Amino acid sequence: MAGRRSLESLFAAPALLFAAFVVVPLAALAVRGWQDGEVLARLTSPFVLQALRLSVLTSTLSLLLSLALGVPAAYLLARVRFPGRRFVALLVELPMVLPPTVAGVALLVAFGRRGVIGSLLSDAGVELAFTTAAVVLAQLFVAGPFLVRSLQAGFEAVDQTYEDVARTLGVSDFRTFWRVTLPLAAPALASGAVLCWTRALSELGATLIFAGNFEGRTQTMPVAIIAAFESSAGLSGAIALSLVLLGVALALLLAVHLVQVRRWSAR
Amino acid sequence: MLVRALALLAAATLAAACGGASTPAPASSATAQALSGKVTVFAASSLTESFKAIGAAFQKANPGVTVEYNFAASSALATQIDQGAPADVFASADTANMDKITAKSLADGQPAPFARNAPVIVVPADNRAKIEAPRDLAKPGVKIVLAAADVPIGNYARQVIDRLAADPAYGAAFKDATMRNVVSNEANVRAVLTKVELGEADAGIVYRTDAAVSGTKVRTVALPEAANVIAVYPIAILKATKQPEVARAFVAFVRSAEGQQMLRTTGFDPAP
Repeated sequence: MAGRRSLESLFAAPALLFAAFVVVPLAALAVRGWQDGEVLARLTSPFVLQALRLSVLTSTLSLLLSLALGVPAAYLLARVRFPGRRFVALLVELPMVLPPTVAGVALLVAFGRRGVIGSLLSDAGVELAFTTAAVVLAQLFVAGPFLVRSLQAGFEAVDQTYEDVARTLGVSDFRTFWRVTLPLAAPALASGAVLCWTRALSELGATLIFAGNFEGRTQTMPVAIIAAFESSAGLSGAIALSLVLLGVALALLLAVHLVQVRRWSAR
Repeated sequence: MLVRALALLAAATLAAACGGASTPAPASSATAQALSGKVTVFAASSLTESFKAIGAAFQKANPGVTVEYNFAASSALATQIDQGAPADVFASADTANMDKITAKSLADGQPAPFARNAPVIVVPADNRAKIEAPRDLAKPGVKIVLAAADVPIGNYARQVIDRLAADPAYGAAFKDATMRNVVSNEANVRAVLTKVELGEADAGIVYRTDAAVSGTKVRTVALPEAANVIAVYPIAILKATKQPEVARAFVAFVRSAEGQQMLRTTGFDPAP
């Protein structure tokens, strides 16, 4: 017991240091925003609002696309034993550990005008680079895997006897999935969706390379932070944008925690 | 045995260090051999090749000196310096961003112009959009990439477009149509160049020296004399430097005949 207490006191210093390291910069951002009148003025500037609107639009679209493609993918990875399944699962996870700039270059090489697929699209009159669609694709690439990974684990944790019971009662496969499997995996779906959406919201590297930077079209919040930092708007513009994103992240985190607390207390 | 060896080694190191410190450096003598230390140079992206070459020559002439670079858009560098980034020397691609530094009294003395450059239109080698003259920038569907307006080359590019529009043969409609064709405002000149090289953009405006770096990957489209903008590059020592002597020597080297010659071989014009 005494040994454990000495361990705890030994760990207290680095733990506090780490907590301070995380909290201090974010607090500095808030304080600086509070003190700098220019920051407050910029919070509601068209530059910020336009970027916010584009960010919300693109990250929501990429979440919807991730759901449409990722739910089936996660289900197949969790339920079907096909050759090379582990390899495919690994490939799906790859974008999660890949630097987003690599994703940007890869997307450009594939979907750019002279790219493998992009050149075919270009012949058909569809050009993706520098468009809002490119922003969504960049986000889908880097954020989608978070949903698939989380949901795959969720599906794997669903007890298959429930599904078997439903099927023996004559319920169709699709209905079983919709009414039994998916609801049982709902917590994983929710946390995966939140992770996916926030990751899409914070996407920068791939967007800058593949979609470029144009106000109202490809300039999402993170891109706007870079643009502001390097412009005459300078630091106050960057701080204003950072505060908005910090607020969104904080609100989302609180919401997730509230939901979790409710779920635990309901048990 | 090992302990004694280590102790001896430590003592020897200490003695050497003290000996080194107790020998006073020759006071303000102009001999380059006396220089030692590290100088951090914040330089415009367009200076990447020429400053690397100049740095190598400077280090060769001063074996005790190391030159480190941070290449980025001058606008980004100015913000970083303003936020206390540890820079000794700032070389900007325009006076506007240097002025941000001098206005905040961050520069030591007056910045000195050391090179000139000129914006040019570049198109991919295969020039699929068939841009043969500046006028073609306004053709519908052309994808133009510029640097952001605060980045020096972005500012110069807009000046070029303004000057063209001032010519009645082009007119204000040319400017409107051209600016409508801009699909991205990139962070620095090299990002513009890369997107043109890749063919993702049909045209971009970069410095003449950047087009030269690209070699055969891009083609340049000549600008009429009246639309030419001269980019003047100033260099300054920063007040916050802890290596004022090395910084001064580096700036002097850039402005020396040897430094100017190296800039000229990479396509820059001499200081005005």
